[in-house]
Amino acid sequence: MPTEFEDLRQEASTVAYERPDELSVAGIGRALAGYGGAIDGVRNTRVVTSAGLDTPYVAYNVVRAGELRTEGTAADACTASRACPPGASVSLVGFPAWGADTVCAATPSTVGGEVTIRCEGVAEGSSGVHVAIGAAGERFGEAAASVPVDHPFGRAVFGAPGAAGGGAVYRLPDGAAAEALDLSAGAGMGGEMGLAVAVGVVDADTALTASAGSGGRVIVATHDVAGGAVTSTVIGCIDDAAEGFGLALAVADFDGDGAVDVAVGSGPGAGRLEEVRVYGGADAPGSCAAWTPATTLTCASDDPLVDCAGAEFGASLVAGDVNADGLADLVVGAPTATVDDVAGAGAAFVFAGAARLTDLDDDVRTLRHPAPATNGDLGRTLAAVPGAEADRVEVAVGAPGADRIYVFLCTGLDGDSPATVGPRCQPQ
Amino acid sequence: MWLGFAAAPCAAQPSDEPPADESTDEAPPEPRAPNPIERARSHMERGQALYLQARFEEAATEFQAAYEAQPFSAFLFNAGVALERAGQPGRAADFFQQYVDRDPEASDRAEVQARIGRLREAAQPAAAPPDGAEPPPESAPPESAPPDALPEEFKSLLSVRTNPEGATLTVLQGGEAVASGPAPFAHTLVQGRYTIRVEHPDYQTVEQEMRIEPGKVYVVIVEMSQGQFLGYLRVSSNVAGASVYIDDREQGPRGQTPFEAPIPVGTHQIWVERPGYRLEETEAEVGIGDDVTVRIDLSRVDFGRLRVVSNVSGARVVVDDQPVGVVPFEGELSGGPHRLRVEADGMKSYEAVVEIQNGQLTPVRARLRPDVGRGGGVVAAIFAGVFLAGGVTAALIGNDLMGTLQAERDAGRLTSDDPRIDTGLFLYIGADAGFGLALIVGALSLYYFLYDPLPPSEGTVLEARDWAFAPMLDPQRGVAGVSLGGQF
Repeated sequence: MPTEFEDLRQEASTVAYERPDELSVAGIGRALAGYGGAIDGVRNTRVVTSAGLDTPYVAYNVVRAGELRTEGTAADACTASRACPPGASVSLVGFPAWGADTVCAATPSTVGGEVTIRCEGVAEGSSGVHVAIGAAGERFGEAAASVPVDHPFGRAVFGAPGAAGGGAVYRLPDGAAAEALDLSAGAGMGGEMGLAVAVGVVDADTALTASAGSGGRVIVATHDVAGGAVTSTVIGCIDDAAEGFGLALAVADFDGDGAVDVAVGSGPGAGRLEEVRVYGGADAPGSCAAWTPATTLTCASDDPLVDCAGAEFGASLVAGDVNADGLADLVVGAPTATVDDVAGAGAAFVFAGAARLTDLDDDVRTLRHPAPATNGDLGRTLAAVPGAEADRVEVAVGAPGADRIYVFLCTGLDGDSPATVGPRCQPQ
Repeated sequence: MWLGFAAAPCAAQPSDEPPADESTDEAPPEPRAPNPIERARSHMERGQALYLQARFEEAATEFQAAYEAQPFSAFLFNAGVALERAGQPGRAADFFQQYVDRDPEASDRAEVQARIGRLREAAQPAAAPPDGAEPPPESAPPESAPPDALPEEFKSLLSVRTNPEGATLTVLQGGEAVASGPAPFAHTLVQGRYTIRVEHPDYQTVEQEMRIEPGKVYVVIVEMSQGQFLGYLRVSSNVAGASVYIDDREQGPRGQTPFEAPIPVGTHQIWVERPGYRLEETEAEVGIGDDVTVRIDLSRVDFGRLRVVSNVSGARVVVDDQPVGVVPFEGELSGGPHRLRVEADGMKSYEAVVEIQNGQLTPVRARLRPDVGRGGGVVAAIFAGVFLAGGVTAALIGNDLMGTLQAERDAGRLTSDDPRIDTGLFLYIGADAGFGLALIVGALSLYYFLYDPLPPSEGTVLEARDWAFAPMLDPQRGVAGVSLGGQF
């Protein structure tokens, strides 16, 4: 029966999301974010994506009503019929709640500086649509990162590389206007700070951000919000003049030592580094001083079908606990990797968190498409999507060249068997 | 120039009854027109029969009646002989006297006169009986034992007519003429061998030996143009209307049973034939003046004929699974049941069991109807097979692909947009479609095979009939119709 193949499709461990018809511009996956929260007390998680600047975006179901429901789109999309403000969609974020509304996706306007927020869980008296004030004229939101948990620091951070003084980074508190973070202690090494941002949680009152500009400096800072005011402290600066260095960032505790570690990749460019450096949070210098990486990850896949030459390994990064082992895992994109002799098909690699950062490359799994598309660009963007269980995330991978995104419900890491519908993958 | 004699035999056989026509299953022969000579012959025959039963007086009466029918002296003489034998010399003498008076030129006149004298004397009464006594009978009591044969002294009558008249007849015995005269000619003869000479100035003189038996009437018809002496032949059979061939079958039948006709004297070969019956053959000896009756019974042949006509000319006729011809067909078959099939391309066959009657024609009229082509069914079946094979193939490939994808799914490597899923989906859809189409087209094929909008071919086996009833066309007569010669 044909339905057996449909069932098989539903049981696939990697879910492909194609661009819906209402999105007129091809190339979804250039912006990508995962988020989740409770709607009427039931867990729902989404992955939101767009084709880039001034294109509509769409949010897809990953977990709906507490179960993996990978079919269908969520209602909070910004589509052609629900116009987004100019300059929107170049970056996307999502968070569990905005005020009384829950499960919200947001996109900043690099033109007007406002943040358009659409929530699915709409409280009584709310429209579910909110506009938060950002910064106009600063290319506000060219980079954005969601705060992974409900935290007083805010819902997201936005980079504003056009801000005067070499760029800026803003936080978006819940229900309030965006607020610039003081990273002045890390100034130097060029400008356009905010071309890349990442945010993690250190403790209940403190968050950690990493931001990069075009000069090859990555500023890592903590932000203490105890008492309502934000106290920002630059704890390290990572400098490298290689092209695009730092334009891919991820922060998480990969080794479980309680300190947030920083992974730094590079953006596109001929002189880029084909590596990802991981800096141990425990080794942070505490000021804008040199920071020696704990380990450097390279594209050394055991998968014989993946050719890493010119793969732009580290062009995208995301952190999250994929296998629910309590350690954050690092996912590295290699969007121009050759897969199965298909040029530019792209791939991603999951480095399992380990007790020592030097062991991050002990357990590496390759994420690729079994039928790779030429110039599919798989891995150009990455996102961690909250899973069906709260203690784990699924890996979302953008493939703008293939005009779709993928959610790998099973990365192959030990213990990564998230399936609640069908045997999506067996425990390793 | 030809000269001939036709002898119409009127010689009676010594029996109680005149010869009867033995063809009891036929209509009695046309009664001959009563004429004096026939009546005389009839009385003569009865008189002879009575004589042989020792009923002499009654015989004399018949002879007298014959004389009254045809006043020939022979009848008077024979009546005298019978009465003499009956012990009535007086009456016998009277008849003998009439004989000599009627034929004063009789060669035995003197002998008869003497015999009359003896009879008169014997008829004189003896001494007068005493008073009261019955006078004695006229003569001695007659002999009571019947004679074994007619007396040789019985005279016979020879009557000769010629065509044309005017011929001169001379009856010779031992080279001497015993009688002579122009035809028609009649003369009383005693038994013996005679030579009859017929002379005519325009025809060749012909002579014919003839034996005269006592007490018979010979009527000889001389057909001058035949140039032959003729007897009379009758051919009867149990089958009326059968063709009678005599001596030469090539010349065709001389007639049909019951057959009778003058025939040249001699031995003749006779065939009797009728369609549906075996040809029968026999020989018959016909003497001058003889009336010969031949009985030839026919029996049916051991085969029959089958005639098949149909609305499709050229349709093949198959009997007992052997092709025998095409329509219109007529042929011989052994008697008994046969399986007949009439078939033609594009038509439904007609089949029947036909009982062939020996010696009879069994007509069969077949009406063939178009056969609905099975091509559509075959094509549909082929398509159904193709669809089924395609469905099976797609299902097998799909199953194999399903196994592969299930393994990848279990290994965590399957992607929902894997084109192989669509391939498998299409394979399964194709398989289902193939099975469905195979089912539908197969059903359609079955329908095409089974459904027939036209009724089957039909036919009628008509009642077997005699071949003589077969339609006939006679170009010589210019008529067409049905022969009615059969016996039904």
